Amino acid sequence: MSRKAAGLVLLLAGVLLTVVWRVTPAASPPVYDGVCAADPYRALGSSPAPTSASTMYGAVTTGNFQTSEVVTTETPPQAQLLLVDGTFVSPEPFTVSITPISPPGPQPSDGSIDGNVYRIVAVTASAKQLNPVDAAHSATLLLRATATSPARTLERLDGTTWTDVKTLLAGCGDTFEAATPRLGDFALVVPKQGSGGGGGGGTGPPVVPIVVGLVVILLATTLGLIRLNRSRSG
Amino acid sequence: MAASTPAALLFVAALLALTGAAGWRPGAVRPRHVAAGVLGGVVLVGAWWLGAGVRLQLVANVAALAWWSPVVVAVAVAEEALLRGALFGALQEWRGPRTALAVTSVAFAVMHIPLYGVGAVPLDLAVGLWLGGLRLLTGSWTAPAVAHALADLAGGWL
Repeated sequence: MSRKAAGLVLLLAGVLLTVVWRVTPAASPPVYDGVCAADPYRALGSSPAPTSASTMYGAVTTGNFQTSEVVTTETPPQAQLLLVDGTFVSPEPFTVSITPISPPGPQPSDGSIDGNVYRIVAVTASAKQLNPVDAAHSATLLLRATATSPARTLERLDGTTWTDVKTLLAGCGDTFEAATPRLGDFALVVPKQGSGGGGGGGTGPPVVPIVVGLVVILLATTLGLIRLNRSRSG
Repeated sequence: MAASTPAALLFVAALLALTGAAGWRPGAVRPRHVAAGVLGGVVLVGAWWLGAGVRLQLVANVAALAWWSPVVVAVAVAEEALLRGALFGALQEWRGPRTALAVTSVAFAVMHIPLYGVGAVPLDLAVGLWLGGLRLLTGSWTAPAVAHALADLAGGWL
């Protein structure tokens, strides 16, 4: 392959990278890879306490809200709200806040709450509550769990019932993410058949199976390499 | 790519052992390849900045990353030694550069599924293509190794 072709590959990859970062939910920390450095999970009522976060915004007209994030200060953050261009429209200034709260009365019917419940709201100066303008401008919410397995589901409290939101694993620190068109009270829920719910100390990702799986893949790769070398020399 | 420091060190040891067992040797490190890798790393971070619209600023608790940084560099270099070094070289010789580029890009994405989930596959495919492009352009694994290490460091430091 010529240098020109290699340059074209780089150009294509560069465009792809930018596009993927644009269309993927603005989550997936760390940037690409790395070793996860996660502090222990902070449950509400324990010491150190989980942190809150808030950001104030000025009045915005349709399409003028800029990409933004509201993030708590743990490592990695226990709650992150990622907002895309045009998410909010408000004729007056407003504040987006994330606050850990005591679990509300209703409990999820399909499992138990894992970690803290977070109240995520956007409120104007005149106490009017805002939501993203439409589903295309959904907010992306990332919450840390106390463990990765079994997979948690992010749920929103709608009145007296908890509603599932399509949830993805987001990596470091047992973090899960979901896009939501409405703000409110959110929590990660451990399915009933699982274990480890209730906000206790987490165990992190299943390190041994991950490493074993990777080693098996790499062994197979290497064996393939050796066979290739042998077939060439033979 | 690992969930903890011991797992990362085990991972690095396994990668290097397997790379060595395949008969691959790293060769000389040339300044122009390092320079290409630095530029490649800047592009990877730049794509993150432009695409995701994040603010780039040094993290407050830099001291906490003192032990993390060398481990991350070791993981990145070991991954590149296997993928863009041993595997890419063998496949390029066997089936040509297109196969080498495709297989190593897919392998790179698949390797990251256990920790980051299927949702990270498009991003890791694009990154694999970029790192493979650097390998093709320079003819060396040094450039993708430097770019990979810089991008991973940026994930912690910025």
